[in-house]
Amino acid sequence: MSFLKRFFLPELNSQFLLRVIVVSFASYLVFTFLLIPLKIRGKSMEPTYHDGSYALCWRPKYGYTSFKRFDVVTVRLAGRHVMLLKRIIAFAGESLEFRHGVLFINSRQIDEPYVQFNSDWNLLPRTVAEGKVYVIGDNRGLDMKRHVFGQVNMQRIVGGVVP
Amino acid sequence: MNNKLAVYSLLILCVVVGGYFVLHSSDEQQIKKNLALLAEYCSTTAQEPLLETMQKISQAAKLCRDPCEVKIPSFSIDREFTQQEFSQHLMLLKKQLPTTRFNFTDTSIIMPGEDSAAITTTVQLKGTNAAGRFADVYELDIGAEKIDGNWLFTSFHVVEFIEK
Repeated sequence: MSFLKRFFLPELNSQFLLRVIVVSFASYLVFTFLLIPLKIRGKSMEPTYHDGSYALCWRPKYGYTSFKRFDVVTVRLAGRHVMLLKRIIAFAGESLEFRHGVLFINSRQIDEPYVQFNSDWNLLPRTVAEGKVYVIGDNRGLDMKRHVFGQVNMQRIVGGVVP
Repeated sequence: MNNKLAVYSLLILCVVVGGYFVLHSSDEQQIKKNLALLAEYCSTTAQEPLLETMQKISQAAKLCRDPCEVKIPSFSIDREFTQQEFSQHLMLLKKQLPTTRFNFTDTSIIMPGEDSAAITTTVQLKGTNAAGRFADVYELDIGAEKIDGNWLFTSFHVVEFIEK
C-alpha cells in the first residue's frame, strides 16, 4: 500500500525532480533517435497496417543487419516527420515486373502472402539500379497510377518497422 | 586591467555572436513565415466564398517572384510561370481539390548568400476529392531571394525520389 502511495503520490523532493528530468531526457533520446513513433495515414499498406493505426520505426535495424526481401521500412522525404511506409521487394541488379497483379523477379513468380487485395497491375520489366531498392505498398487494390512505389536510394531508408 | 579587457572582449564576442544568430535566424524565420502563409493561401476550406479564394490566390502569387520557375518531371513541366499563370493554375487546383489542407514540414534552409536561400521541405496535402479522403506528400526544393527587403519564392522543384 505504501509502495502504491509512493508511486502515485510521490514526495516532491529533489530526487523526484531528478528522476523526472532523467526519464524525460531518456524518453526524448529514445523516441527521437531510436524508436520513432509512427501514425499511419493512408491505405497503401492495408491490410498489414491500417489507416489511423500506430507503429514504431526502429532506426538502428540496418546498422546490424542488411536489407531483406519483404522487410517493411520507412522511407524519408525531406526529413523524418513525414515518411513513407513500404515493403522492400527487389534489390539492385534484379529485374522486376507485374503480370496481371502477380510479381515476377528475374522472371520467376514470387508469392506475396501479405497481399490480400487482388489487382490487375501490369508493369513492364525493369532493373533496379545500383544503390537502390524497390519498395511497394501491400494494398494492390488501389489504382496503380495512384499508388506511390518504385526504386529509392537506400540512403533514404530510415529504419525497420515494429511490430 | 587585463581582467577588464577580458570581460570587455567577452562581452563584445557575445554581442557579435548573438547578433549574428539574431540576424541570421530572422531571415530564416521570415522564410518559414512565408511558407506557412503560402500553405494557408493554397489551402481551401469547404464552401469557401469565391471572393476569399480570389484573395488567397492573389496573396499566394505575391509571395512568388514574377516569373517563378516550376519543375515537375513526372508531368514534364520545366519552365517559368508568370504570376498570372501561377494564379490560374492555383485556381484550377483549388477547383479540383475543393477541401484540401497544405502543410510544410521538415523544412531546412541553407543560405548560400545574404539574399538567397535554398529550401528543402515536405509538403503534405490532406483533403477530400471525388474518390474520397486522400493524403499526398511530395518533397520540394524551393529557391528564394530577398528582393527589396522581402523574401520571395523564385523556384519550385518537385523531387522525384521514387521511380517506378
